[in-house]
Amino acid sequence: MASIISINNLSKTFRGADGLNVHALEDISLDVQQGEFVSLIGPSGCGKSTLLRIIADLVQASSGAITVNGKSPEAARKDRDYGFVFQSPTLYEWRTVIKNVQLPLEIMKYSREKRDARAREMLKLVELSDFENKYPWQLSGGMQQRVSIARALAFEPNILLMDEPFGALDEMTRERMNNELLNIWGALGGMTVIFVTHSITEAVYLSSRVVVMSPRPGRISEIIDIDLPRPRGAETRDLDNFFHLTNRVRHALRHGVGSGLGIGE
Amino acid sequence: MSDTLKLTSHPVSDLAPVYSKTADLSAEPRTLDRDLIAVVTIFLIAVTYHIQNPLMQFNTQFGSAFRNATLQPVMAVGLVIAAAALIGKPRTLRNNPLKTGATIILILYILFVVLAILFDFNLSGAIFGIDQTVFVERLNETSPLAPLEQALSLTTLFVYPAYLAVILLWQPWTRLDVYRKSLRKQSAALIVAVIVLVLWEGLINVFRIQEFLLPRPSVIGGTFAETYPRLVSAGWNTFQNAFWGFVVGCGAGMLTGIFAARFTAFSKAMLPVAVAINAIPIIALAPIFNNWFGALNPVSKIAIVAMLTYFPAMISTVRGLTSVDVLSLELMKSYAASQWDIFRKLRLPNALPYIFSALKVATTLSMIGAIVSEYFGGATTGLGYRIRDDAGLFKYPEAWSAILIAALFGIMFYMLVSAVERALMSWHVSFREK
Repeated sequence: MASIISINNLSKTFRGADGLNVHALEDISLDVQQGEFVSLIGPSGCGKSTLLRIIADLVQASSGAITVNGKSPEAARKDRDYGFVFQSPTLYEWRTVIKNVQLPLEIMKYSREKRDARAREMLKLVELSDFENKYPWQLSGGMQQRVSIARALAFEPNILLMDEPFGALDEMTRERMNNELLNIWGALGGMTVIFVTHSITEAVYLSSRVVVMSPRPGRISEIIDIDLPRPRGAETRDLDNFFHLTNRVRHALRHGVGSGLGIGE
Repeated sequence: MSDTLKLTSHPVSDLAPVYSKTADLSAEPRTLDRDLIAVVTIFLIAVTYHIQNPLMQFNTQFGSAFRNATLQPVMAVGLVIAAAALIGKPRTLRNNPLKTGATIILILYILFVVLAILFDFNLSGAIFGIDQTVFVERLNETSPLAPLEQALSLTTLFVYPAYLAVILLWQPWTRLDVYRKSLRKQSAALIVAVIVLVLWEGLINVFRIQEFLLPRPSVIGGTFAETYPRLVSAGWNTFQNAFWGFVVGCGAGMLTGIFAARFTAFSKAMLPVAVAINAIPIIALAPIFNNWFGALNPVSKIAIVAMLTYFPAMISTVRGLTSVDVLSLELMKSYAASQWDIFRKLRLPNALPYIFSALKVATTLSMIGAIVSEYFGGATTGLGYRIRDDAGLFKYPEAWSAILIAALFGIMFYMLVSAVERALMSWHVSFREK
């Protein structure tokens, strides 16, 4: 298996509003293999979103080495190697659903026929074919986020970066979205997903590995392999191993907060 | 719920309420837009009918209101646009012989008036062998009155079917519930308007207020009915100054706004200067502009209007282009989009609501500028001149009538810009129903 994302001793320091340096990330090392589904989980301020943004080249690391698809994050961004799904759907309100999905394709100079075909295919994948001519405000929050996933996948990136995409949804919708995301991931085959979340059950249910992070300074406190069988479904949540793994993540989080504070002193 | 299950097999909890809300959006819009378009079309048919034949243009009051040579082609083009909006997409006509027939009749009438007004070729005149130059000249003793009358009767045979065609396309009888609803919604404003007019009329009678202080609305109305042909022409002359000043001022404002938003160093240097310039009461420059460009030269008026409208257009453009949601920008960055793509696909659509609110303010400003700048001297054919002159001669009802026309032109200008806004940003939150 090829390593898709490789991070070595990466640190990120922000200069805060009061002029003091804030250590958002310290000494992060992580290797992500092709086709993996990796969740980053941790309390607020642990730098999980910052790490995702560094991979996406939306933020630059202060020190350390990182490669995405074997290149610098900037080169990977310019080669359009990843799709990004934000916390809020970030749909352009002046575009219909299908036009929103076509936005990256327009920028990447796809032909009109290819744009139409790709966008329809993606909307079918997220089961929104009936809504292609609606405007974003005519859809519910969950549907909007599905459009945003369709948009991120439209140009066939081999990496999908997701920053708490279902954080704003209610529990019922979120579980359904989790299933749909797994279906899409399974259908596309071989795509690597980095998924930032607050939710322990979501992380365990979706991932092949869960990276538990601790705050102040943000660092990786534990990496937990999730060996639950796939395909996963409602019955997965009833497995003993599921309870066991969520407990392990919970303990790691608790432990991480304690040790994190200790190191900070 | 059973409703949504028919449409999609997806067993979803968050779909149902939204879908039922979106379902009726495909139906006919429940606003008065279409009625306004139909009324405007009827009005423009009447206008074009009156100006295509000198018997109507010079012998009737309504016709003589549109004698202004530059106003006539605008009316003809306006009719083409209004009728196109009324007819709508051709596919709505399919399987509807009544509407198809009405459309054909309306298009034939429009062809006739467009030929007559824009290309000085009157078809009915050609049929009766009248020299085409007669149609564009004032009536005199050598005018061939009898053939002109024949030509007019032929046109009249055309114009009534055209009215009927508009009614058939409009179908106001199917929209009674819309009228009832908007009447209920607007009833408070209507009642207030009526009360104000009644009080105005009544109190002036009761307190015996002199006419030169404030005429009664009925007197103003009577004077308006008498003098409107001259006022429409004067209003049109002034409106043209307002319009071109608006185009120059807002155009320059948007262009420099784009430039300032792109090059922040430029805007940092220029914005304080622009703010300082805007602090000048620009109308005070009117006598100086008269000196620069000549009082009779419309450029002196256009320059005032352009300066008045420049600043709001510029500031709003800068604000609209720069107040872009951070995530939307990051999305563009994640696509490695070019600056040009970011401008075209994100900043510009994002700025449209800001720009249009400035443009709507600018319509009012431009009418004010065009009228007031005429107070300081200029061509005697304008509305500002009329108001000043009538007021100076104690002809106050006339002056008020001129003000009424100015208001009508201002409202028309505002509605025109609103219509463009609606066409360009129907997606915007202000146009969503409910």
